[in-house]
Amino acid sequence: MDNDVRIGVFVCECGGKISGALDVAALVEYARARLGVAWAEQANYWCLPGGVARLRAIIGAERLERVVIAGCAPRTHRTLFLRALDGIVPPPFVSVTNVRDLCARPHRGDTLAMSKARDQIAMAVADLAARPPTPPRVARITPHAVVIGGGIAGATAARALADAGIAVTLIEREPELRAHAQERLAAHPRDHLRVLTSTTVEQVGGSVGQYRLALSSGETIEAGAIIVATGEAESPIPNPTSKLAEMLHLPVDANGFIADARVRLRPTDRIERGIYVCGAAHFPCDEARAIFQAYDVAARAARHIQRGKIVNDAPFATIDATRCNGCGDCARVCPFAAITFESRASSRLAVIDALLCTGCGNCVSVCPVKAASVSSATDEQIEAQIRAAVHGSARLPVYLLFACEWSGYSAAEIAGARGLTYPANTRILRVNCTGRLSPGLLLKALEMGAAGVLVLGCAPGLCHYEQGNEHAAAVFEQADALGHLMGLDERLALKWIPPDDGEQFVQQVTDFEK
Amino acid sequence: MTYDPALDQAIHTTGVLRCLECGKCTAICPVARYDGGFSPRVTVGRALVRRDEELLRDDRLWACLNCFQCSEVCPADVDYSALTLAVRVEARRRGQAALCTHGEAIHVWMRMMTQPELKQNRLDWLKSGYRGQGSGVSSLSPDRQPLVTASTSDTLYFTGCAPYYDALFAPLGVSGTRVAQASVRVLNALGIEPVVLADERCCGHDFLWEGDVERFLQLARLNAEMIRATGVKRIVSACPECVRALKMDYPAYGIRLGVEVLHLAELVAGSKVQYPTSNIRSPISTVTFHDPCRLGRHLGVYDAPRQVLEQLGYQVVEMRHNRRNATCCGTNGWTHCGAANKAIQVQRLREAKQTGAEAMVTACLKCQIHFKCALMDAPMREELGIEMVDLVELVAARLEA
Repeated sequence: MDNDVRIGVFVCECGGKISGALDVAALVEYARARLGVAWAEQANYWCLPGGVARLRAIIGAERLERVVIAGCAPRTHRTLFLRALDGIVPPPFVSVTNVRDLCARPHRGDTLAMSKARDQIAMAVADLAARPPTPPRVARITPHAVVIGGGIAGATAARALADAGIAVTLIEREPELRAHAQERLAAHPRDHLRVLTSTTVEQVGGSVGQYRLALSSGETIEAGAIIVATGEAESPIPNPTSKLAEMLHLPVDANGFIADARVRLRPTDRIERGIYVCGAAHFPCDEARAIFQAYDVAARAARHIQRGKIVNDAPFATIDATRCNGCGDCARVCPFAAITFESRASSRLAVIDALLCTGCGNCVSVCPVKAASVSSATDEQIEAQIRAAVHGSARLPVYLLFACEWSGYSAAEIAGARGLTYPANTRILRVNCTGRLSPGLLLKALEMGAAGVLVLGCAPGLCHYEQGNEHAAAVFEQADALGHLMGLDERLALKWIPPDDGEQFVQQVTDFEK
Repeated sequence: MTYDPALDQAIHTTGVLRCLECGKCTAICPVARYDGGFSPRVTVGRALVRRDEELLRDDRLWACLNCFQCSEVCPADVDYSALTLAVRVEARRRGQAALCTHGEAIHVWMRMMTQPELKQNRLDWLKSGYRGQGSGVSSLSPDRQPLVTASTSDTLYFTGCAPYYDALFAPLGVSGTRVAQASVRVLNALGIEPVVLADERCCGHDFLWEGDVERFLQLARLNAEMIRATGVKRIVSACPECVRALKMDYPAYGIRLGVEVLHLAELVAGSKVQYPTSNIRSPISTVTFHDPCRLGRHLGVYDAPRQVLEQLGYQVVEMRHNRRNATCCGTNGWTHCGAANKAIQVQRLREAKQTGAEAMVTACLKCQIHFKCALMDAPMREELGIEMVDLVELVAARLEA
């Protein structure tokens, strides 16, 4: 560990839920004495006002730069701690590790529970210590909205935006707007509402906040927000609506309607893209509903534009231009089409749109020359965690579980929360997507002495990053082939489990260890 | 603080003290051509200072391909590659290491092979038999020819990491197992039933050139023990790096096998094979041959592969830089690959394209992998795409005809 980095470990008693099953004082002492952190402390509840105040005070007094809160679930509590430490500790350096649901609850009474808890804290510390600083991405939002489709929904949205003082361009492919749409726009000052008829959108470029739309008229316009109000598609796919949806990276269902992003696919740290859909393009609806939706998206688009800029602390991938050799593997696996290419003399250069990137890490695992990297999950961080897990405090070999945040890890948490038990000689390494894993990482865990390596990811069709799990399956096949050659087959496995399925988690882990 | 005495000695034995600073090494160096931060001449100068700690931490230290073009042209007979190796040993001693590619997968398996207790499952490719297919090679028979090996023989076929490469490089259209199968098929056709080790370890070539002498020796000792137990008189391999390691490096580091070591191309060329006359026209008639660095400049074998191609009936058109002057395929040792290496590969592929040959033949699986990787870059593939095939596969296909 880089001794210059001052890390604080804050172990929570969680009102007895953790301290009732684990020796919290011993964990604090372990962190201080054996992990060499700058500060370690325990509290009854770190998340309550008293705990938060103490946290802020001690971070200031001890000049701590990075913190591990060993307590409960990140998905319920990390946002709380991020807000509490806003301006004090940058978000990438605030780590919450769920000792309650991964150690205290499932392994109550188990002699191996403490070694798992010690190693879990060690893994969180190792991960944080190895993490590179990441400045937030900032992008200006162009103060101009484009509404595509001059029907009742489009006209309503355009009018609402213009009323809010935002410059709007309404684009309609027919030569004239329909009567009721024209009514909507009648008697409205036209200085910042422009209507372009007999016009379609040919191409969309640029990036979040600064989209560039190339129109059939030859003009190119910039927009910070785009509203799709093209109405019900008249012909089967492919049709103008589906082509537009493709340009905007919007999913289209089998009936030609532009689908909603599933709630699970929009984590809190995924950026607002400024692209909205309303009316019959989205789902069959009557005029009243279309108008209602139009007002809704207009309000969201207006809010988006009025922010003026987007600031995002979420992790994203970058490309080292001296290493990139233009092989294109990254673009092939990116679930969000965030990678394009610039040409250079002997090799094209991959370019990642930092605002479209969700930091899933699929490009990182596939890049043969280590040109792509994600600041939240560098190879060094993952290896540090593997080492902390496999060379940790247990005196017997451990099983390393690579669990994706959205299914494997959450299933483990639910299993614990529900009081299910499973073997405690397991160490859970959380990745945001199993597609981040490479054959090298999986085999390294075995090389370092893991008794077995189990990868737990989202079942097909349920991947949070759309096809990260497919990529993970391909990676696993390679690792498995190598494992077979080396006579290590039985020590490697990949399993899909539905998210939050605690029982499945317990089943898979127990079966694997056999 | 000065360098370790071992490095000090290397400075004497590699002839570095004779350096004239003429710069010919740097002028011909393919890495220096595309990477402004790398210069053999400057590295020599810095090493001679013997107090240049920064040199040991310089990541460019690992950029040298050990292609031997520099020592080939050096008027003062400086062994630059040997100096690089010695400096790398010193750098490793101080905790530096090369940046591994492919997620370190290859290094993981090479390291795991140093463990004596490892029990590999690496002979499945033998059970599948041989069937010619792939670029420039068409199989006349749909059946798979069985591959015959023996537990004792005069000859051992050293497989190398070929079966392992398939796991990572099949998407590139490279088949290590097919090359291995073709190799044994060729040996069988020559009346040889070779020994193939069931637990063969990596030859250790890459570890040695990275300065990891300890692991190189671990692998070498394990291989030597197994080889000696077979009682073979000669080792044949389709991989120039394995040949180099077994023939030159093992004895240099005190591991004497006491056997002849040669590349399959040398064996085939020397065997004066009678190829059956075929009524089937091969889809390819003109080829160009890429000299692998380890086969060419390292081992001095330039004629054998060309003789084989001529015996097979191909017209060989040479690239602008060939034989002693051939340029490297651009990457070495599964470390430190980047845009500069890509540029080397592209330039070489350009030369191949300029010959007008229908295919590029090489005698090294790694060369093929690196060139095919370069062609993954779609615009490059469009401009420079060329059929690539291993020499051994051509021989095997022809013997079948």
